[in-house]
Amino acid sequence: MRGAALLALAATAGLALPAAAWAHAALLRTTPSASGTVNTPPAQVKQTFTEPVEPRFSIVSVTDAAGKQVTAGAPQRLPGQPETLVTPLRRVPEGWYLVFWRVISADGHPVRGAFTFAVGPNPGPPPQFRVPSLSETATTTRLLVSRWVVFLALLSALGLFVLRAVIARPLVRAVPGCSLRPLSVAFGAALGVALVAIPVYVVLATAQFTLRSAFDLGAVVPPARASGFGRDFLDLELVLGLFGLAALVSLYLDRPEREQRSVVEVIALPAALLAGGAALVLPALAGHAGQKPPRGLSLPLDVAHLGAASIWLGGLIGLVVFWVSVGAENRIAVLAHVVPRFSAVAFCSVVVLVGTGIGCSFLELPTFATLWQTSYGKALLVKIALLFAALLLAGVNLARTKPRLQGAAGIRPSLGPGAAVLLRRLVQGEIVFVAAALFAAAVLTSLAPPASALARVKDITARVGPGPVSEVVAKGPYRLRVEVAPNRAALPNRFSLAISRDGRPVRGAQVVSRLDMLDMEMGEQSFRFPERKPGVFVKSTPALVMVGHWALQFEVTPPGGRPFVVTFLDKASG
Amino acid sequence: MSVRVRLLLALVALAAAAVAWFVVLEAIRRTV
Repeated sequence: MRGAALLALAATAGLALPAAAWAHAALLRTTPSASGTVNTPPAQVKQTFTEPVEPRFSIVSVTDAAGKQVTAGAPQRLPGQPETLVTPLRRVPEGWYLVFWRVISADGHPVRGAFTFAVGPNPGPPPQFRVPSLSETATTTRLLVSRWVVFLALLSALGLFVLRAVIARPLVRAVPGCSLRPLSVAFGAALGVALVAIPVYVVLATAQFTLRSAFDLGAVVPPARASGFGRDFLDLELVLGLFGLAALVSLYLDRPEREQRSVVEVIALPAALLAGGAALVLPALAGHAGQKPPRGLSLPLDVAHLGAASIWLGGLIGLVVFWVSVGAENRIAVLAHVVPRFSAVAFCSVVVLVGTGIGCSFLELPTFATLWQTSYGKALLVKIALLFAALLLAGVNLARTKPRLQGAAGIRPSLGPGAAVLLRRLVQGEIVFVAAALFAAAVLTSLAPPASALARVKDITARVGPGPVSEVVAKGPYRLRVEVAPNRAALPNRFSLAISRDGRPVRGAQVVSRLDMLDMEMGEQSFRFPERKPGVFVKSTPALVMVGHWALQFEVTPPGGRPFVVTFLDKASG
Repeated sequence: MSVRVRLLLALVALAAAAVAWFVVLEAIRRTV
């Protein structure tokens, strides 16, 4: 029964989600509109994003067909609208223009894109623009490693403090001669690493996003607080320092040899715990939970998720610290006292971890299939597998090691050495898996969560791209050949649909295409395809205005037949 | 260590927690 319960617990934990899945700025609308034609030369290009963007980190380039820059100044925020960037233009003649943009999201991640617009009334055919590279990622090795170290040190410090100040405190009275000092030292070390790692991470990230060297501190440090991401993490440094102060005072005042805490201890311990709780809010706030509604739900879930993870991880590290620091003569007694107390708390932490993870999953994933269809989902699956492995080891500890240690402390001392060795091995294994799961969380935080638009796309016929598309699909009695070339963003693409039935072209069909950007909210575009040859419907348009995933829907109404829809999930490259 | 010093230290911890939450609430206000 207990085994089944543990298995169920472990399986459910697989749904645990990252605490801080960070959002990315998405382009909501542009003026002039993407791929649109205006009849008077625009004085500016206006871009509205889903969140405030920092002009100092933004690049907006507007070039004509010859590649000549036509901007008249740097992008600025529209007064009172921090999410809107305005880039002034010189007076431009008729023709086509390419807008290339790059902004830094509130979470510090770069987003690039491009679109075209035309100045009419007779702009002529769209030219072949040379689009700059549209790929830029936050998943560089040094950013991932530094983010992981921040997570690991922060959560370890908080968990070690809880273990030392609350869970393991009665040990001093239960096992004479035992000291909690090694735990305090481990806590101080983890806190020190976190306090160093956070500013290093902010500098590395700011350097990458301002396209400068991390050693160019004179240029990197001043704008570090200009982004929402930088502000939140530097605030985290301050709050963690305050927590460290309160925690050190609390540990200094603590007299664990007395069962009853004194008044000053009763004041200092909750103060330190409160400050630690404050430190958990800021990573959540800097992440996805703080960037989009419903924040009232996602922020508490995120904070609880981080808190549960910290108690679990810090406790595990604390058990190893005990193993190393306590002499062999006291080891069994110490572990027999601490492990059951920690197990009870860890069990509750895991339940909270799983519950909040499931809650986050409902907020993050638009469809269940995005779990294996998107990069974010795949990284999440890796994290789930690692947590699953850690929980299996935790289950063995709970079911085997803990009763043996309790038995060793009571009537069967012979069980002690074997149980202690098993505990050490399993706990070390747990730490490895939990730390690896934290690395997976660091990867996840650098990826955009799946777009909500994915939930609107049903019955995908095929996944195509990047690169030119030539796909043949059958739909009832009809055979369709769909071609998209070159299938690149911001360039005129040729969409072709050849429809045949029993080997003969189907003439006179009505073909309407609907294009939906799936990585951000761009609004649906709709085109009617003229028949260029018998049964061949063609449209050339720079409709794929963004790099990323597009839903290409073709609604076909054959003459005298029932209408049908084929949907492709396309990836347009830059 | 005298009781007064211990009480002063406890109040320092309390003040640190209060400042920490002030920073966090300010960050929440800024974001939301």
